[in-house]
Amino acid sequence: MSVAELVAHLGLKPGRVAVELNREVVPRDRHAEVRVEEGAVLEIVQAVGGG
Amino acid sequence: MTDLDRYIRQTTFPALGKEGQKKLLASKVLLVGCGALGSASAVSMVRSGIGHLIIVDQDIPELVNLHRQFLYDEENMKERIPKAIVAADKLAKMNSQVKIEPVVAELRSENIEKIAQGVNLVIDGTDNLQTRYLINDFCVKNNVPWIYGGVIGAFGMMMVIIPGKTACLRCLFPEPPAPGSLPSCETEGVLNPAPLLIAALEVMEAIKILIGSDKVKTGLTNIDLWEHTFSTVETKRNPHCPACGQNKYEFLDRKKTDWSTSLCGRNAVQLSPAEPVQLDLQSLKQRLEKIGKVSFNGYLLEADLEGLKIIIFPDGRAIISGTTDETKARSFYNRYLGR
Repeated sequence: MSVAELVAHLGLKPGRVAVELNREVVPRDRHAEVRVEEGAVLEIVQAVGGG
Repeated sequence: MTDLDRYIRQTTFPALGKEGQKKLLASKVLLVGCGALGSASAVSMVRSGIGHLIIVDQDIPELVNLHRQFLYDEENMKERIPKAIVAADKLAKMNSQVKIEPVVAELRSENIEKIAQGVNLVIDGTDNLQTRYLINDFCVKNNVPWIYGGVIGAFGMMMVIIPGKTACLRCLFPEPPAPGSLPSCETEGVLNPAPLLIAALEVMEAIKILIGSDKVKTGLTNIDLWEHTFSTVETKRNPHCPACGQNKYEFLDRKKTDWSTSLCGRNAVQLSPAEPVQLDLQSLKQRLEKIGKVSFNGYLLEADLEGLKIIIFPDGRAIISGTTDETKARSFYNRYLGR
């Protein structure tokens, strides 16, 4: 599964979240090509707005 | 040189030194927003001897701010004096060597070029993402470094943005969140160690940037103080980023911040998004119910919050009654609808 497919599968808006794969942010334009392999450490983050 | 005497306990730190201190004293920094993050970073920057600090804030200190916004006290709350003014007065007593310039205004595309003219760095102390996208546009366009900081609950994020070198905000998050989709400090709460820590990280990186250190920490730092977890992930520039890749500055060009604001009737302000949005009023109702009286009739949502009544329509339009102050209404709208 690609990062883009995963984001879509989770029902998230692609432009509004950042995906960290194995401790590195996957650039947005590479979401379609980067594969999420088994055992990958994945974190999906949303910018926080408070201050 | 007597000007540097007061800083001896920091100039003794070899990586800063007297040369670094002189650079700090010659620096001009813009702080956008002086709430919890801003209070903490302003005190830290002024005491560190960052020579010229511009503080932009539109609000007045309120009771519910006092647990985390350390520059304000009960007296200020009663006086109803704008935060930027209160902050500047208090900060001036901490270090008279620093030039402090309060600006009581909402930072917008119309005034950012004037307010931020000639600054070496912008520090983020705002409470909404809309303003951060505006800061990002301005800084990328004008090649000014800025430091994003944001908090919620006991969680915080920090990222240094050096245009042309690091990823910018839009490399990571190309689009701002939809109105009403983002939790805010008003709906989720905030514990003061989170903004204190994020502000401390912001100022530390600011000092490094201003003195030209090669130790500037890039990447996105995430801290959950409740779970006591800290991490910084690497970020890369996105060549197709609308801002730093394609030089499209939609927020600066007002294409996305243009809110038509009109007074309607007595003691009420109407706000409409420039672009149509689709709000999920049911989930907004669930979030707002934690903090006020809310009703939803299937067509519109009505809520009583902070003594104001807000009516929200699915297309993002809102009528705020109990005020005729457009800036106050917009700030209220941004907070509760997560813009």
